[in-house]
Amino acid sequence: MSFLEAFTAAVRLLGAWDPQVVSAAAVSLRVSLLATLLATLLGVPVGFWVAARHFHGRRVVELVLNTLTALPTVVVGLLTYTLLSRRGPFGALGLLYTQTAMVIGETILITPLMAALTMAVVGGADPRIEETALTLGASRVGAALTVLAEMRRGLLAAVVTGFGRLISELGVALMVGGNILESTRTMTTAIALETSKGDFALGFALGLILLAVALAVNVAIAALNPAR
Amino acid sequence: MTAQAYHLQDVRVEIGGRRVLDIAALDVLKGQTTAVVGPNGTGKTTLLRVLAFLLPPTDGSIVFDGRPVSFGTRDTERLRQQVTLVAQTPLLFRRSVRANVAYGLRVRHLAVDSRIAAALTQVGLPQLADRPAWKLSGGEAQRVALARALAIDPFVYLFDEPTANVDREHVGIIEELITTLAATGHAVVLTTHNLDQAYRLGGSVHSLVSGRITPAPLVNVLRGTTSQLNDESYFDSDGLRIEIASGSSPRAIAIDPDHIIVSREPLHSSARNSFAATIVKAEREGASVVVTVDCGRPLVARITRHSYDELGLNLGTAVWITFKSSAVHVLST
Repeated sequence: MSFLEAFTAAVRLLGAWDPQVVSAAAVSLRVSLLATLLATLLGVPVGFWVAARHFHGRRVVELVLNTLTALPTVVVGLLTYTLLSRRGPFGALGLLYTQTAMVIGETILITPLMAALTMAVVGGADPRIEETALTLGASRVGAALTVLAEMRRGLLAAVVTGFGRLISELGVALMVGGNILESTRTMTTAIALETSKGDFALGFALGLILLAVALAVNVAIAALNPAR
Repeated sequence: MTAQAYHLQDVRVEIGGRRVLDIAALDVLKGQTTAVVGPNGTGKTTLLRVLAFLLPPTDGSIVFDGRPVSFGTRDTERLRQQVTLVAQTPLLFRRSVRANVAYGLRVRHLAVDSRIAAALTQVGLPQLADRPAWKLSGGEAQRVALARALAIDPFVYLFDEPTANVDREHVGIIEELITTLAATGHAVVLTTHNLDQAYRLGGSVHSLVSGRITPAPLVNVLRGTTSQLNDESYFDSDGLRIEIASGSSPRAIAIDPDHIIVSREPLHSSARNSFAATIVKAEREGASVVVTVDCGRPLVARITRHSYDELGLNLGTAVWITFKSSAVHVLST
């Protein structure tokens, strides 16, 4: 199959709402969105806490968080796999090869990233924000929430960045999801499989969707950073 | 209710091992403006941050509204709500002007709408409520920050150089507001590097030098009235009539102690002011002597040790003091 034939077939699949394409896109979006939400809930408070507090060993925590942002996806896949496999500590839950397992793995993957980005955003916040809130009578917690609210653009950009990393991620999805059709098959795992089978059309179709998502992510990040 | 809003005793602040504030004693009274004058970097802002309960002092005690303050407890959170600080370069939240002014009311769970409108009207910006705060000019932002503080109506207002970034025509509005706040029973503390402003607004004026409250640069301050006679301006205070530079009509003046000449005989010179006086106090300060003379009221002159000895001056010596009208600083008009 030539490149041009494959590409034309891909466009046709997209136009016809091919069930395999739709299913893989839906699984990708659902797992990525859920994991982004969880990682935001876990990572943002951690990042804020590290940025706002002056405690002993803070530099070490910063270093560890920044290192974890570069976690190889296969390492997280391996970690999650050993945790959830039948002989692992959470094996009894029978989660391996489910979307839940994928969400857990993906959350582990980007929580450090969310924390590190939050740390950078809050660390770059004008210290007068907190002080102004306090002089207007806010409590310490209220002032902290005001800092987050004032830095909302930076935090949203962090969330979008995290989502962008997940939607295009392959390692974790493949290792703990298992690439089961219409259950744990995502766009990336489907592309890997179809390519090895020689079915380039489906791969291209999914690749186009991924590109569109990547474009949307980058447009969102650009819109959230008006300085550039 | 006590008359004192604050009583500071031996309050010291050290930042990075350096002592930036060292206040032996300071009282801030309700119903008046306490002005703190001093050059930049002298600890004025640090003092305000301590008074705003933002910065716990390293040492010393503060009594606020009759009760000793213990920093770092839930108590300070409650105390902070009774004080507000308007910074020299205030930060407005990235929201509408209305949301900025509403902030302090919301955290206190107070009704907002009428008070927002009233506060914005007080600073002359009622039409800007819906404007995004980041689109304001510097002077407008300063006034919105003021409105944000007025909306809360706490009993203590702290102003850090309130007119430093405001254009001339609006200085009057802000000064008038400060006067009104003090007149309505609030305790107001204001820092400024402008002596005129300090005396115009301040019921009590302190000067802060290297973190210490000192009376040093503010000696020979006289309050009184001005009159014009034959194109000359005269300042009358406690029976003293002092000729001052014509064209001004101050309510307070200060005479530079370094420009007062002390002599045994009346001087026939171009200097316009000459008074008979008696030496009531003399303190040696390095190569100079700080002489306090009584000429109906005490004035301080600084002369060299050499002159002091050569003139044979002593306590009780009758002398003449002479100074030019240019040695008179106009503090308040």
